[in-house]
Amino acid sequence: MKTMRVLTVIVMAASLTVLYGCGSSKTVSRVDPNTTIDLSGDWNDTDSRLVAEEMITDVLSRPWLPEFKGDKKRPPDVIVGTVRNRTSEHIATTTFIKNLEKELINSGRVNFVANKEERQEVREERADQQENASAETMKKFQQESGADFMLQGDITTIVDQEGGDKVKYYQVNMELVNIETNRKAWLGEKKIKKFVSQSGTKF
Amino acid sequence: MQETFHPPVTSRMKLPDVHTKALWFLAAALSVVGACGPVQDLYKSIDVSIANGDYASAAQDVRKQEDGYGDKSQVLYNLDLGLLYHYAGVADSSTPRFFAAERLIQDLYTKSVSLAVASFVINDNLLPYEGEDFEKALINVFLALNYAEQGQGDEALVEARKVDLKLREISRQYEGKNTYQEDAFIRYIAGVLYESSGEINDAFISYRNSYETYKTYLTSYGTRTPSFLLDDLVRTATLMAFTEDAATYAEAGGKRFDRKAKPQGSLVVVCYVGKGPIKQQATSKVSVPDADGIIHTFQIALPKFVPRYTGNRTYAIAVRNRGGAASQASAVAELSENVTAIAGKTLQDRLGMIYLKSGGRAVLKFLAAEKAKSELKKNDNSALNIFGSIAIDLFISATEQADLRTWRTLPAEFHLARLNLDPGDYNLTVQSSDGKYSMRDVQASVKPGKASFVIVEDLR
Repeated sequence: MKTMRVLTVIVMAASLTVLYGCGSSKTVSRVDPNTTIDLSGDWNDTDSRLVAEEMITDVLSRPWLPEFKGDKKRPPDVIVGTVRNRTSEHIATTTFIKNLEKELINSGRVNFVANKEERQEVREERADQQENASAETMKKFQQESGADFMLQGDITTIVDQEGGDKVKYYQVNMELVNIETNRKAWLGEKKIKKFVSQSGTKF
Repeated sequence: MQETFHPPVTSRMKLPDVHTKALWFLAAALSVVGACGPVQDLYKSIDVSIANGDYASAAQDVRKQEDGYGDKSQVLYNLDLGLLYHYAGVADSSTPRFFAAERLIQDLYTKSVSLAVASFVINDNLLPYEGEDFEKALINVFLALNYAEQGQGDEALVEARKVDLKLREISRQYEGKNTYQEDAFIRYIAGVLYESSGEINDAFISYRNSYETYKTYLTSYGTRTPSFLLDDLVRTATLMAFTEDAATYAEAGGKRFDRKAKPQGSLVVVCYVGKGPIKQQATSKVSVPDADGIIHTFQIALPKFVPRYTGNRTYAIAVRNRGGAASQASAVAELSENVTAIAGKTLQDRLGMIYLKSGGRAVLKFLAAEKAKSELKKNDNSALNIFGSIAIDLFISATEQADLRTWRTLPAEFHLARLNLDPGDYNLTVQSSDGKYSMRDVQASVKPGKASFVIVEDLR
């Protein structure tokens, strides 16, 4: 009996909310890009950063780098291939690839070569220079650096779900393949596991 | 249509002391908003534009009617808009709408207790519409086709995997007793996409899953396995050197494949055929015994899918090479997903729960009515009593209304054709068997080892 009354009050309150609606208010606050903010539980900038950090420390600490330098007396030229998304989420892989590229170039120990699309644009520019640039600033053809290694990879997920609870397991695999020999010089992996919980009820 | 239904109540039911006045107040308050959801008139102009193949205008109409949909049907608003943009071939406008709908549906997983109580007392139209199970899965099917049409295979595959995840979660809720547990169509599309990206092993697995699912499609929805699927199985099995599998599928009718053959590409034509089903109200009778053991029978309203397309149109597809070699090919698109049949089955499966819930709703209404009548009896005016009782019953019946909201812009059927062709540029022509629809000279290019998607809409 008492519960019925409580329910009644609840419904009355709810019906009033329905009738009058509720206003929306918006606030904006600036945060440090390194802050971890998880909203939906989907792949986000923090995951991207974590992957880049892990891969960089790993790739720079492995023997392939000093071996190459000892052999060729110069830092290796690396090109970024594709990082395939095999998950059930749309993931902007370019974000962490760019992070990776930046850190590796800034370390001064690896050089990066422009990828296919970037090269195409640069080549168009070079062709344009042949017609329009002054002789002393015009850049020559066939002076491009051929890459020594290609960085490739993929991201996979396993999702386990039970009602509003979800466990998401991501694995990012990256590998550095020697373009001349097809040998794999380095394999890196980063695992990320998340527990996402959504309540089944609200008032 | 009337069915009799008995909710699980004992014959000696004790009436709780309902706070009648409060209940009346909320009933009155809620009945004001009870008529939520898109008004049927809303669809008049949209339906006409769709039948004429003018999807851009239909999308315009939907946008103008956002208020008509109401805030309880925002999922439908986004679904309708997303699908109409998809029909119109504007993937860039369609995809964000589908994502918005998906996000809203996800948020609606968290149920509002207050609204749920309200829906018990009044009807389900008070609840935000979160889509039928098959509608939730079809969002990702259309998203996959949006990406596939734009040549973004990896992103399309993400959507195909999402269909799988969703159906798995839905089946878990039904303890695996539901009919629509897997989608054969999207598995086939995933196979095409894997093959197109050179992952033959994954392609073979997807084709095989599709083939297995089509076996259940035949018994559940009367949909046969598309004939070309066996060819795809033989081809990918041969390429993977799965000799036993290749032999099995060839024996079942698949075309044998020569590994040394010059690599071909393929054109995959998806046809959307006919108007999808709509929901109509069907009333059922619920009998509730009162404290004295007297049976009172109430009506409850339930939704039921009715088909809007019952034709058997087929679509002939012809391609002609635009280059020097005048090679040509033709095929008839085959029924590969019967949306009307899937809709009917999934609603039927869900009705188990709705029935129980509606039974509960009828009981609550009955209790409210009984209490109101007993309050009336305290006045010693028998004439007023009779009229009062009738008025109360009428009011109770008036608030009972089935939730008829549904994704109305869906097609009734998907037909599919696959043409394996030598690389080159082709002119494509599509002609319906009733002669009332044709699409001429659509240009499509075929690249070795790749699949190109062409989408055809005839939603008459």
